[in-house]
Amino acid sequence: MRREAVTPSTRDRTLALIVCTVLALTLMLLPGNARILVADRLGRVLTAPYWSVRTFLDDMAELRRENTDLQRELALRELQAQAAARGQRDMERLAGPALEAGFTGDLVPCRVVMRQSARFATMIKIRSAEPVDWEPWLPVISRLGYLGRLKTVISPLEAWVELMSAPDFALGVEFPRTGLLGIMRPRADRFVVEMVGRDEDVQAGEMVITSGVAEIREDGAESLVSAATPRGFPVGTVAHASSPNDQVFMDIGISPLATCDFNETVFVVMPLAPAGPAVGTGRP
Amino acid sequence: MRAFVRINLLWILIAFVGDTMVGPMVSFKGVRPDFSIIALVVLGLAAGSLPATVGGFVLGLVQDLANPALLGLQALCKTWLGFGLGRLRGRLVYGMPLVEGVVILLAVLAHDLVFLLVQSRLGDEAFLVPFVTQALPTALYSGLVGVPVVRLAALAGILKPED
Repeated sequence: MRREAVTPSTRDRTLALIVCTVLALTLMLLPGNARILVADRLGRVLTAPYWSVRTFLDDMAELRRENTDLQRELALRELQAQAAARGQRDMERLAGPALEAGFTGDLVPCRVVMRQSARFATMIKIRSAEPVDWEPWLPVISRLGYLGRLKTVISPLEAWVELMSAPDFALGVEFPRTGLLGIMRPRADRFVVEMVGRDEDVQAGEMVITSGVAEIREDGAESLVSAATPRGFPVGTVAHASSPNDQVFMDIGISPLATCDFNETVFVVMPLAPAGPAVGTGRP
Repeated sequence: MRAFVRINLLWILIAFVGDTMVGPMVSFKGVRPDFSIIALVVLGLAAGSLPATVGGFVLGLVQDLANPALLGLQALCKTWLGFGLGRLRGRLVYGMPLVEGVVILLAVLAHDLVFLLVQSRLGDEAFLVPFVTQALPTALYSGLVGVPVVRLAALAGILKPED
């Protein structure tokens, strides 16, 4: 059965108007202190819950912002310290003064806003708090190490990142203990370093970092990616290294240091100066 | 009953989300749309004068709590505004953005006129300067922003000519 809508009569409307007006006037005509006390008591019921939640959320946002800045500072200091140590080692092994010890640039803190829930995720979406003049292929790191590179820029605030686990991913890496170079690639559910001669000295547990060396390939695109990744970002540690009798190169598996399993700040590595034409990229 | 819930949810949402979240984002040189009045316009046109009177009183009272020195003033202004807007229900040409925009503009102006008159204690400067620099731009901005909000409410089936 359908009910008819009840329309208030003119008398009801006028009554509501009078009651509300009288209430409002009563509040207005209260003596100064009493008015403030009444507002305070009413506020505790009507608006205090909202303000409590809002203040809490504002504090959380502020805390998060401060935390992000601190993490950025910390990551910068750690990278600088690692670069200094690496420079020292390079000098000791007479690697030459032209070798770049570590990156010189800036870190842009970003929040991960979208990620695949799959075990082996290949992309994440990040959002910066401030507009960034970013471009594809810039490296993305966390405090633990290298994560991937910018794949698609959505806007000055948002971009998609291709993780190291993406099928076509390849990255020039280095074993800093010896200066040995290789190429890191994902294989099924593990990461391997290829193109390391079977007689080279690679030990389980040793660190692997980005080499900053452009790998020249036929299509040219891969090399550009490597060129945009500076030397020195920790990639992982060697999980196993062996030299099978029937192969020319070593079989090296690594455990990546950085993962996207935790909700943490990630950093886009921005160059200090605008990128010029890449040297040795294999492009015309 | 369902319509009652929908109408109330919508106007509370417009007032709350508009004033706390959207307002600061679309603020231009300190001028931002008055979403509380836009919400009151929606309520008045959707539900008539009784709900709009009570809604206006509650809305004004909540706003007054942030400014206890003038407790009751916004409640009074919005009570009368709600009553007036409710009386417009069924008397307007529905579906014309220009009409809706002008209603919102006039509602903001009428509200601010009374509010500033009382607040300024009829002082020339205390009334005129904020009226010209704040109330007029806010009314224009609210009129512009309010049209899509009212259209949205109409699309949601909340605003329709009185039977």
